[in-house]
Amino acid sequence: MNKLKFLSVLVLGIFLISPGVKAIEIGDQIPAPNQKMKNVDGRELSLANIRGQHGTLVIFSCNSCPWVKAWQNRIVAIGNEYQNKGIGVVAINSNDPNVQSEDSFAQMQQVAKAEGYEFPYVVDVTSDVARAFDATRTPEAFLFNTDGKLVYHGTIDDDAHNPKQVEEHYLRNALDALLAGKEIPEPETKSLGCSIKFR
Amino acid sequence: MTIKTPLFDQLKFSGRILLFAIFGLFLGLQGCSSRNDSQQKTGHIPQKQISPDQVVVRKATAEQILQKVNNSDAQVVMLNVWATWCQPCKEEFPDLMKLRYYYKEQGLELMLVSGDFPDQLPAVKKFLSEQGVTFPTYIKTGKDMAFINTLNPDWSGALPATWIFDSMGNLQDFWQGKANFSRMEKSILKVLNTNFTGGEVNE
Repeated sequence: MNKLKFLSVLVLGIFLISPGVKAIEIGDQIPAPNQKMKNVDGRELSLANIRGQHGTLVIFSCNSCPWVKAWQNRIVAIGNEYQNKGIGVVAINSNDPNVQSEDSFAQMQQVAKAEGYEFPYVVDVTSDVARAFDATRTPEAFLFNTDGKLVYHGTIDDDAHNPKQVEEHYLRNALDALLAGKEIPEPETKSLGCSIKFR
Repeated sequence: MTIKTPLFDQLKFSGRILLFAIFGLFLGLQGCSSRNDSQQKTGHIPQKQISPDQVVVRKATAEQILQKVNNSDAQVVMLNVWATWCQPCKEEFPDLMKLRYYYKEQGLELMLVSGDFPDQLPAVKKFLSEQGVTFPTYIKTGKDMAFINTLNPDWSGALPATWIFDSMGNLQDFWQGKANFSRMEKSILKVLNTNFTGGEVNE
């Protein structure tokens, strides 16, 4: 009986604990490139469709996370600006709206409109794209070069709370370096964020 | 889930239904027994009343947190980084308090660190008072990346995150994301049992 209990705890544990902490590594190819995801405008898009001439920026995001909200203006500014510079940009919501009702598709449409997203905001209906990336939190950015290889993984900048106190614009610096054909100064960064609410 | 064994294939339809029914019953019984177990420890615990302005929340860097872990004379330290804005953190919080209530005598120290922005301090104190937290807790200060990597390079920064340290201050377990009572209890017991017997725990 003890073994059975141990097993059931183990199985429960596996289900309840968030998946592996090791995300894809610098140099890896874009995961799940052909998985179709519904955009807020109704189109079905895959990462292969979104790839830009000079690279691809994938941001795991959502409507409900306070850290996303704190960075929202900066995420939109970066997304809109670099899409115009030839980077394919997409925000992906992998959260289960049954856990956070704010993450429904209808509310994604509202957020994208209200915040002025000029880039796609798509729903990962099975959370499988987040799993393929080993993404764990929102916001979490992945930047790929023209060959589809990961060159930057991490956060937006070093101060979610106060835009005026930002000292390191990690994502902008990575994008600028990629466009200039230079080495990414800090290819892996971190910040606090919300756990992705996996389905 | 598909089950493919020669025996299973040989079973007629009714046989398979019976097999699933037995399996279902077995799961049901398991569910009941573990519910009974957890009822013993996850029921209501006495909660001390404390007002938000009595709650003590000190600013701390990751280095200071680790120093407190090392200086602790507890048998096991459970460190939990949470935030008022983090729903799963708030959901697992009562279980943290229950574990502290049941295992404090055996040497468990619960160390709570809020990852909230500094101007959220009133909300932090309000939540801690609602949860009956009468012991001092901490709020993160400084830049995120240094904080995260100092506490654990394997941590992505997702909240909640929980560490289990043994009496020597060595990291024995770590997970990010919400955990349930038995997952946390098992990890605490493993360290407590190892400390007391000086050897490995037999499962």
